Amino acid sequence: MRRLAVFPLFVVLMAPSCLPSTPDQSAWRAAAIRSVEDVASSVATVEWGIEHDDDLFGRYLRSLVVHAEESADSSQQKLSSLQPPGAAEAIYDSATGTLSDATSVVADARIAVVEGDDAAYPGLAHRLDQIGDRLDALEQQLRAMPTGDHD
Amino acid sequence: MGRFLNVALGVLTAVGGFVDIGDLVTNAQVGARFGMSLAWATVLGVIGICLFAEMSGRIAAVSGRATFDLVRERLGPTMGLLNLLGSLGVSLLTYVAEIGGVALSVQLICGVSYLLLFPIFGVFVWLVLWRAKFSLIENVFGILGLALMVFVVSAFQLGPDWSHLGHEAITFAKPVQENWSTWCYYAVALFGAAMTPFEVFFFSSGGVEDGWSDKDLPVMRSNVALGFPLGGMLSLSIAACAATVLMPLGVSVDSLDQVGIPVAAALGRVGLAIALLGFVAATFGAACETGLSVGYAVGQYFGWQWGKYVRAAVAARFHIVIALSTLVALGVLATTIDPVTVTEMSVVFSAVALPLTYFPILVVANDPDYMAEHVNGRLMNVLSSLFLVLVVVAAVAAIPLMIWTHLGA
Repeated sequence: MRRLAVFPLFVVLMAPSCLPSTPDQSAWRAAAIRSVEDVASSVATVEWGIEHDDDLFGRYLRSLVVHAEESADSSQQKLSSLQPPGAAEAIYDSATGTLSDATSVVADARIAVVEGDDAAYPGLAHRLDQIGDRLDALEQQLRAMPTGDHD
Repeated sequence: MGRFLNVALGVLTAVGGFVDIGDLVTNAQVGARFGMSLAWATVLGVIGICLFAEMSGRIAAVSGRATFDLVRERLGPTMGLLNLLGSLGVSLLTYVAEIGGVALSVQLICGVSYLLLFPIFGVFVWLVLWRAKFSLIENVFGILGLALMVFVVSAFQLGPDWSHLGHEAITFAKPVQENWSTWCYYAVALFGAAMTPFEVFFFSSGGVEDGWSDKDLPVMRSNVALGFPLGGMLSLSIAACAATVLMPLGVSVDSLDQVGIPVAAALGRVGLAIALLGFVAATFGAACETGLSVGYAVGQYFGWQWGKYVRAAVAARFHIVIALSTLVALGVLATTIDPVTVTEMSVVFSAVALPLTYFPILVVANDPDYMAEHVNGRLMNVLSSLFLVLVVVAAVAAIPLMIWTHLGA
């Protein structure tokens, strides 16, 4: 009987841990800027690597690109796992979409590097450059967003 | 001639041994994010480690006794034990970071995941600590670590705007998008990376092992006064390279492979190969030094026979402590925690633990019962007291800043 009484209490106590993290607008904006900067850093690293592959050893380049991809994935997931505040829902879609596109291009670069497909590097460098510009624009948009502190 | 060679060897070893995984990662991170605006923290850290190492080296030479032996005697068993536990925790954390750093460095050369490499290199470090001579550990890895001078060459080859870098360094010009709390956090991290306690334990315990006497003081002081500042210059050149290449690209450093990018940009594959040799030597040498420092600290506190100059069977408990700490380090790395994250934490906790050993050393260095006529002079006391204040401020600020800035994110 006592066990039956403890179970609902356990469920009530544990329920909040099943919910996504719900930061306020200011905290969400800071986290979003951090994620965008981190993904942009990964994109810039991979772009530099494939543009300067003659200056790097093959294994070094592979390691560089694999780490960058892991880092970009992790940053994207961090932002996706946060519940956006109501006022940020529109930019949330744009941010997660751009980050997803960026990690996808980084993954394509990793595939080319691991396969040693250096003919694909110029095209990938162009795509990385373009997504880098989109990430810069997104970062500016996030910085211009009201923090919500005065609301 | 013999004395000159001793000085030259000591200086080279101090330069090569100054930079470890903490210096590599922290200086590159700071250069890429803050340019040279935090160069002052490295300079302060270098002055601090010179004072700290000179005092503990002088104590070792004059009294023939090592740091934790004196810490226990001066502070009593209970306070001494708390002191030991704090310092041991930081040394263990650094040991984990260094073994992980060796594995990450070798991964960059052979392409095999560090998760497969760290057990092999952990056992290799332990074998070296068990079987190799002290002089080999002290000199060979330190001298191979000089390969990192490739960062100095790269800094010149990249041809940065020196006046801009110099302006950043003297005006503390923080980038506008960064906030002051993160800037302060990285200042503490750089200070901790330059003033790592294990370097001083290793230096002074090595003095006891080598049987230094007061006749060795000039050589010891030359090593400190030349070796550490040249090592600091190496740290600044890593930051300058990152500020020149990585900062304009918008790359923030979160892995060891990004640290090598400026060298590859400046000197191509030849430069990168030399840098990789430096990464392996610096991290392996530092792993040996931290592993020994853990054994030294415990052995000295409990009054056991310790050191590399006695047979392993005679110093069995010292070697058992090293073996156990290696197992603990491998256990931590087996959780797949990122060694770079461990490194970031280790440099901050180094700053936290610094007063624990700095203060007792300052007290003993002023005690005529131990030091006779070799007690601190007035200038030394002014400088070292000033640094005691800095060390305490850094220690108190470190953890709140780490929490406030989410590890400098």
